[in-house]
Amino acid sequence: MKTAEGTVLLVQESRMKVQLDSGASQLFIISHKSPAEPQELQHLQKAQAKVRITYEEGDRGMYAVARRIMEI
Amino acid sequence: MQIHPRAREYPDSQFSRPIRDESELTAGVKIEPGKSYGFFTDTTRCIGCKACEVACKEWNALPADSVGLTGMSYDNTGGLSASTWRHVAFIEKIGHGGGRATEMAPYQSNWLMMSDVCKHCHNAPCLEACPTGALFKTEFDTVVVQQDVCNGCGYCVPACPFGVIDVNLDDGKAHKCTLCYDRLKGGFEPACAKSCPTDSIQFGELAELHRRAAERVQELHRLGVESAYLYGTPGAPGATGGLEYLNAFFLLTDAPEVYNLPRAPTRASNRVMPSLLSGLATMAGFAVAAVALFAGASRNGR
Repeated sequence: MKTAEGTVLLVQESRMKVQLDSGASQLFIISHKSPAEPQELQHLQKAQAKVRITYEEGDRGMYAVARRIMEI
Repeated sequence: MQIHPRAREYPDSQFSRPIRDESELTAGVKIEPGKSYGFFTDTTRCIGCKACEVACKEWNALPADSVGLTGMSYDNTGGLSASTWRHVAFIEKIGHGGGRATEMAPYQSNWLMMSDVCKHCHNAPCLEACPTGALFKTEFDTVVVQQDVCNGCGYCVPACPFGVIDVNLDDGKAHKCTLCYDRLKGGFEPACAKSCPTDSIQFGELAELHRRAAERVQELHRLGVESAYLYGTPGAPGATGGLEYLNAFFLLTDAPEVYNLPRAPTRASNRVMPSLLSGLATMAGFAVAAVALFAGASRNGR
């Protein structure tokens, strides 16, 4: 599994757009295997929080599936 | 073209904060809880630009779900799904009736285009099928999935007569158009309707949309488009089988099936009682047959 760090720009339901430290923007969908729930993401957006995400590539579209999200 | 008097309060092209009740300026309607809102999609005005699809994906942070060619004309999304809540259908009407087209009428469009979306049914079958109460009616009379309550059981998927709602297998939750619930709460017109350059998608109060739609049908009839009719308004095709009416309704010029819409959609709950009764009747039939067989066998045994 890959890891990325970035700033949470936008949260909608279980999806979040993150500005990665590399400069690119990436859309993440929270995996059903992740302990995080959609309602817990709202405060990350409000705080424009910096996060570390462990993820794998989504195979059903142009997004990544976040398995673990940690505020840093 | 009429300009709303409030528009004069905003002469600048850049704003430091959102405009209060912006929908009053963009859609001519003030959004208030307790009223019924919906979409009127006039397919005769659709030019297939897909601005609605893009606006929907952009606002709702929905991923592109197919980047290849579908082989279906200019259609690249194929249909509504968990990550496509607006879908522009392209229907090319060449060689209809089984024959190969050898000539075309000049200056006539042979395309039907329609921006499909969740119908936000008055009696929503998805909502009736949901065992957790994740699907609910909002204060704007629209149907929304509460993500924190949805357990991903998928009962809503076969219950929808239009094949709209879908479960994303990655997050394990059901998704569909929310009629931009978050935007409505902020006084904004839904993203798809706001982005539509031809006003093919109109957002507003349902009673006003019904009035506008009826006028448009009459206008089209006057212009010679006799085939124009409404789909999803009370008493019209699409509002059958106990659905009563659809908050997102359409103006069509061909049979519903041509647009991939069911001619007579029904609520799944309508079929519960007949199924239950037929099951009970079958069981009773088997029981009577078994009793008759055992009774016959025991008589022969003596």
